Amino acid sequence: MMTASIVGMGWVTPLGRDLEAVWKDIRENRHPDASLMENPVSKRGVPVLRVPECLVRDTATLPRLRRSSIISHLAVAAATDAAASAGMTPEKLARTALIFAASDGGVIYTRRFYADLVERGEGAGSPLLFPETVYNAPASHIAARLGLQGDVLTLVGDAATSLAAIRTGCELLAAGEADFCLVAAAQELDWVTCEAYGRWGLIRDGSNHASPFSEGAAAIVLAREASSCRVLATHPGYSCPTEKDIEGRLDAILTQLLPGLHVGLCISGGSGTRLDLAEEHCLERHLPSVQVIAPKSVLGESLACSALQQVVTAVLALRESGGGDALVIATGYNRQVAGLILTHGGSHG
Amino acid sequence: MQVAFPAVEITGFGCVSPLGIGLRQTTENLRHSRDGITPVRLFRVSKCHSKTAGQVEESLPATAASITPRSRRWTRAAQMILAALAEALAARPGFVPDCIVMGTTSGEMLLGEEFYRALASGSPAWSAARRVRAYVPHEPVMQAMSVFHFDSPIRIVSNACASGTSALGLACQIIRTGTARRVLAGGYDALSELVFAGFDCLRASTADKCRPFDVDRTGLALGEGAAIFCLEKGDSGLCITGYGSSSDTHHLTQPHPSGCGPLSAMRRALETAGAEPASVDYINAHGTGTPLNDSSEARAILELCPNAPVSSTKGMMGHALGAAGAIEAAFCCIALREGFLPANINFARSEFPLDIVANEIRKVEAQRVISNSFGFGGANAAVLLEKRP
Repeated sequence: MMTASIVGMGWVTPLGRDLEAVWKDIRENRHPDASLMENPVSKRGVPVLRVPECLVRDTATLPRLRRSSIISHLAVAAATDAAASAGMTPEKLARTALIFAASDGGVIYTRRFYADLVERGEGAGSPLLFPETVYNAPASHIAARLGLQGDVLTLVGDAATSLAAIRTGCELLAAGEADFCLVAAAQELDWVTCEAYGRWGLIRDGSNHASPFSEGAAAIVLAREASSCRVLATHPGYSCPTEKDIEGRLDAILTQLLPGLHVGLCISGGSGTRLDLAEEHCLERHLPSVQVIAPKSVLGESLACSALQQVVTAVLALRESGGGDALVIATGYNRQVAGLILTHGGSHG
Repeated sequence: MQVAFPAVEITGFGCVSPLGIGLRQTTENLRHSRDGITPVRLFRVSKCHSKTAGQVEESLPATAASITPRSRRWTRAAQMILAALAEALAARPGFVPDCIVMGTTSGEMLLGEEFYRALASGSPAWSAARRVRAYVPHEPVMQAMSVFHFDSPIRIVSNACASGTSALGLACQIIRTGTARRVLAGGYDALSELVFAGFDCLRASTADKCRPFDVDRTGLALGEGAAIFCLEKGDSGLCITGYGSSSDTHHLTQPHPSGCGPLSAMRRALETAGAEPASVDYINAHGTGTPLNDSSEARAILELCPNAPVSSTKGMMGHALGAAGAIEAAFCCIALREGFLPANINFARSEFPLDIVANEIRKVEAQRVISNSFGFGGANAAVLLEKRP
């Protein structure tokens, strides 16, 4: 079984950038203020959770990032914090791979670039915007900032993608491709994506109780070296043909992951949507008395970024409780499902 | 601690590109060094500097429909994936993947464009909203996989124009660590207005012919397509024996002029296979035809494998972005199997002392070849392919 230690973490959330302070807010169910994001055509607004600009001023003003979209500012901030908390030296960074997980990528610049084409004709695209529209732009900026020159991968998809990124990181470490692996994810907000996710009922839009759409980032540093907190097991997950199939596949994941473990905590991907039902039913069957924490209820829905924030939350919760095993589940809107187990305190040798 | 890179066997593959739907047509067009670049028919380009691209032929929907009629309602990307997948699986009956790794750059951008146009026009967008759910790059892959009842997890790699090769490399690493025995891997990208306009506004695409490595090259022609490989543990026939990647943090869109990133990726691919640079019989270059890419890549090749025959097939099929690496790996497999090196067409005079396979194929029984892919964000990847007894 492939395992890896978690030796550093960082996140940027609507509630702040400090690990412990945000964890305290989650625990105390303290919600950030929402603002309205308006569709400029229909004038319809949806509540969203934004990261205060002041939290990422240090990265937004870096020369390479001045023209980049906010997703890169958020990603670099979280990655820099994770690297710092892991005590990464230039020597260690030279042996570090990077896996970045994205759901929508640089959607603000993509929308602006395309809007120019629609409004002014097909020859009107801006050469300043286009390069930042590629999914791997944030990963490129992280690599440049930290001086990473080895494996740099961007994985794209729904919430389960971040857990796939962690599994990929474990694989790279097991294959000897790197001694450390930085796994990062970030999400930015735009009215186009608000419209899309709102119409699918995945974010709060006034007619439901879903979590608001939110921006943010998270990063963890995986290592082969031993530490008190480890990714004990990852499940590769499934692609579910329909939403009706999610519960069955999730059930199979838990059946394979849980035997022999004493999981006392589940960090759920629950966000108040129809996708929660599969998780709820599976937890009732497999872990009826487990403590469940759903960070999206406070931090909002930021897709792949949310799943990595769940992992950070799990580590913080395990640390506080003094040890044990935690389950993290991601059920993506694109019907990808995955799960992993974290352990803290050395109960598994 | 570097774990030895065991060979990964290619037990089936399929390919869709402007050079053909399926391997038979592709092989014939490669053998005759056909130019697959044509005027863009999929969207308006009258105000663009470049007006041509490599486009998959119009019989694609019919080919896809012959596999499953429901594909008639699918996007072109999903149809391409389906056609390539069906061909790969036909060569390896009974193959059920533990995992799927696909590269793409733009996913289903066409659906995003449609959604935006519906919203911006203020027209009812419900139909577009339903369709834009498939915007996520997983979706066309899931549609194609559903025909074969696969529910394997999908990892979508988006390392810009290196995505296809990165996907093959990741698939090999997954097999190598033993977490999966069989992996479907490849890449796809369909032409879209946004991406076409993007390369055009950067003046990366050419109004002329795409002339990789020629002294008069002026840029790339975009392309599209899909290629998929059945990969499993094994050491006979066509194999992937090495993979290397590197990150060039020089600039978001420009390679480091020294070629240090491509050099590092190619060197790593050889090291993982335990192969000597002098043993490389052919390099399928990234060779976009842009001044900066080709000079950077030429420096790297001259440093590592100065005597290897080199061609870029992008002059024939265009640059298929996230699919390019997978399609070009398929071309390498054809080269190994059929005993010829594909041509670098539209070539007159070289700026570099490379052994360019100029304009016509070269009959060579190659055993070991490299396929290169480099992309925005400084993503560099190289894969080593071999023909084994």
